[in-house]
Amino acid sequence: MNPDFFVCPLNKKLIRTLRERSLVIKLDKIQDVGQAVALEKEFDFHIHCLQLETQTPLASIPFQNDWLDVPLAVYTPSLGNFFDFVEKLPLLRQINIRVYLPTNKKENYTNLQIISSLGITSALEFKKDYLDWELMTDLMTYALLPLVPHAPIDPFYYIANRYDPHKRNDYNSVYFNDFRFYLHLDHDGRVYFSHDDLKQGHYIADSIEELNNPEVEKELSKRYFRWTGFFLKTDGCAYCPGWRICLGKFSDTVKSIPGCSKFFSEFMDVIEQYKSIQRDKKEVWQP
Amino acid sequence: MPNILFTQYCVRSCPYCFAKKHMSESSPDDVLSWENLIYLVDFLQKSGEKRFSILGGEPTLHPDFNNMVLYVLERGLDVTVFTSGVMKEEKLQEAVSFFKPVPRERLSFICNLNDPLKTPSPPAEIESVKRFLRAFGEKVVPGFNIYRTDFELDFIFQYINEYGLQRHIRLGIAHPIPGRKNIYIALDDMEKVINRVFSYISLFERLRIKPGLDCGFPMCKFTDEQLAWLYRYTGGKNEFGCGPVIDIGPDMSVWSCFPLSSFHKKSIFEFNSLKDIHEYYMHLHDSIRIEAGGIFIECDDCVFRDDKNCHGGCVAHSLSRFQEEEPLRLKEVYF
Amino acid sequence: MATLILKVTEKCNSNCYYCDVVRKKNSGSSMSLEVLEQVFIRINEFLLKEKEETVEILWHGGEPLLSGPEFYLTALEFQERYCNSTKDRIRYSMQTNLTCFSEDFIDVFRKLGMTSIGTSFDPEPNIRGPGTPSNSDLYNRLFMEKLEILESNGFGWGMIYVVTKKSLAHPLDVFFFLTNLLLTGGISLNPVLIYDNKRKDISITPEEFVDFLGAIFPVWWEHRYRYPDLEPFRSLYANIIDGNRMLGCVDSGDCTYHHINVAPDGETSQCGRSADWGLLQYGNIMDKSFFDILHHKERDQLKERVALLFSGECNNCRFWELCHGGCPLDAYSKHQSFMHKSEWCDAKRGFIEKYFEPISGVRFEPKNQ
Repeated sequence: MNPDFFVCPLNKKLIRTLRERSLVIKLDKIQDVGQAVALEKEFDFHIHCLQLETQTPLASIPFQNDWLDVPLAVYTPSLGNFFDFVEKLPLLRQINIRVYLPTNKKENYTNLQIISSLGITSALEFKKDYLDWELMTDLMTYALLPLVPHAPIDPFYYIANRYDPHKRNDYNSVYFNDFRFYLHLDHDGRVYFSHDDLKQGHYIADSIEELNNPEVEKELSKRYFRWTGFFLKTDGCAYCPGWRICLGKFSDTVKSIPGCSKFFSEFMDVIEQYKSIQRDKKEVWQP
Repeated sequence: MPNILFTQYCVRSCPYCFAKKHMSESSPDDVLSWENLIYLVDFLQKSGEKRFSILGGEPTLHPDFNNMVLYVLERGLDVTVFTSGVMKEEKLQEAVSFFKPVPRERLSFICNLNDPLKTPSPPAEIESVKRFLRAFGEKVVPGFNIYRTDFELDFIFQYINEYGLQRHIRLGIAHPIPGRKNIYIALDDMEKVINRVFSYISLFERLRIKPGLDCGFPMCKFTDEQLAWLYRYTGGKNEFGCGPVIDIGPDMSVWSCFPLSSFHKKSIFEFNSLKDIHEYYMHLHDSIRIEAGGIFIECDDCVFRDDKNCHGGCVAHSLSRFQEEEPLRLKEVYF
Repeated sequence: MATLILKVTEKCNSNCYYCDVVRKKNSGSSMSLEVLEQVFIRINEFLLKEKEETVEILWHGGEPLLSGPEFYLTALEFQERYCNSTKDRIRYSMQTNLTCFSEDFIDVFRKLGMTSIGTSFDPEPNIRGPGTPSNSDLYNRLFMEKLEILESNGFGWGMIYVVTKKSLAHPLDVFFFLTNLLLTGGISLNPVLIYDNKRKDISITPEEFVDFLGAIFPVWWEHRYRYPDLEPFRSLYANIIDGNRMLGCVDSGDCTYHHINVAPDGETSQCGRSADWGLLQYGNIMDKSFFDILHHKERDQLKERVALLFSGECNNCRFWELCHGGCPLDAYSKHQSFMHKSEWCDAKRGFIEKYFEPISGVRFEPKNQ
């Protein structure tokens, strides 16, 4: 098993062992960006992305001019002061950034529209303590069927551009959580399929050297076919029209926060509308 | 250029206010949401508009006024704000910090000023207006609504000089609001009002301030001399028009203009573009003009109306008249 | 194309509630290697004589995987030995419950040119599975485990879903469940066929089948590009909207000289049901060639049936071209004679008139009036 990317903490000792790998490095302080960039030069690996999780609102994050070449995934709780945000816009538009705002603040559904309309790629971070499916539907429709072009809003844009109605469509890559492409490492180098597995301590290998073990391949296959578990129940996600995009991600909130089925069903309709618009767009013949 | 209402309430009670009817039928809590603002900016950009005009009630009362204007500017649209200039000091300071660096081509204020003697306001309100003018001077075009024949413009000339306002006065004329009793200039008084405006010619010339005429002035009540002066002094920039302005409420309802705010009100979501909205209301205006060419009987045969040099005054006069008659006209001209 | 249904065994590891094979008296026989060898000798003989023909072999049962991978390896050897110059005109498919599938079958199936499997599934409890009542929990778990092996080895699969009384309460649930499996092949919605009184609790009438399909059809129609391979909708679309005649054996009226069912002991008949009921029997492959079997005089009555129905019971039926009176075995089950139309013809007509035409807005016009 040879994943495309590893998601790891900013740990020099660990990163030293990951030469020639593509890494998503998790940071919890913006000041560490410089250190991560320096490590890339020192240890000959490739920064796929720096994932910054911060409690600082976006407008207050001190972005730097010398980060223009650094892909940044910034998880922040809110937009912050609007004036300060607008002041930062010229720099933000140059940085290779995707801003993640959580669903558990109602204003974020609108903030994502604001950010996107001002040219910054953004994404919704699903927090299961609060999900407003109606607002999410509005956001999704805005993301895919806008009146005028704007920056992408994920995961909607991601799915729409890769959507295959005859396959399971997984948007976990937006969150570096798709085990087919991203594996997670802890400080000791143990390997996990996902962020949740890492939090719960369910690792699949003691180190990346063990990834080619047959046991790991077996685990991979089991994980790949975990979806079949939904089809062993007499109700639930397997019966949902929205299954082929959701894939049961909201099975644990379907009763407490209903609305996911309607949302994902509408999402598929909107994607198909989006696709038909894309198909109708003419391509100029000119080389 | 359509007007977007940020709020539907105001702190003043101007006797001539033609938004009164509309505001009385609306809730003060009804302010423009961010989602609707984004939609409107998208809609206008898609329609090819470059300017975003903000109205109310008093738009600066919107809790997010400063941020929203900043947003619209950042979206690349130029902004005009119709305001009374009455603003809380803290909010004004924030506005100054946001907007002082913005060039006046991108952001302007049309400040409707009331004569402190003839339309007295509380001192705090006057003080607030002066603070506003002082802060934004060069970005402000003073506006004045004529609702009585003995109006005075002297105070505006003074403000222009004192606060460095733009050397232009936007003159509006109070029109009737069909279906509601309000103060407006009667048809018989049109000529008197026009003559009074022109009694200020020497001040306009001496202070190099230009008058601008808002909609609804009938051209026939201007003498040839007055028209010649206007043409020469303003470079032919004045028009005698009356047509759909297009106002859009915070709830996304649309109507032709404020006096006609209850006349065939629609939702913006029923239209694909601004052009569609304009065509819809233009058709209604045309229907009114079929029934009554203009505010005077003579308008029906007027060559200047035929040539569209004059649109025959404000249709609100005709519509008001229709409400009081037997309903024998085209069905579109009724509410 | 000649279709050869090879019942390699009548044994099954499941006891699906609607299955007749496991309920047959004296069921449980399996095909010997001698019979299997004779099958390939006969195939080669047939293909050498009929130079334009192809043979499609459908491995069937009971449960065909119970014969084990060695059986199919032997079949492959026989093919190599006896059909060396004709093997490129031989195609294979299989109908299995999948629960016995394993990695051991992968290689031999690939060598036989099989890249997909036909199977069946039902989310309804106690319909499919071993034991009495059918242990569907065990069956479903096994099914999913084997599906993992199938898909991870790049095999595709299609499915038959048997509509029973239990399905009628929630047609859309059934529809979404089946389509959410995202199988590479098609899904066929077939009505359950019950011939005894003991299992009448799951049997359905043609009208009930029509309304079951009708509850699903509007959703399928609106999103037909999302769910393309659902029968009978797909073939009705092809026939009615596209004007392409795409008919299965039941509707083609043309199975007469193209189908052979080979029982484990080598006895041949028209199809599985005819073998079970002792009808349309054409002799044993140990002493008859496929050519002779395909042209057996017994088959002529099926041809006569088509002509009789066309001028009789089905005269002036607008849907004759889509149906041809349906399956003769269905007619026999009701009338004890082949010379009648199938009661499921009414289902087809009923569905087209009540749902397909109004919802699609297209009226079926026959090509030959």
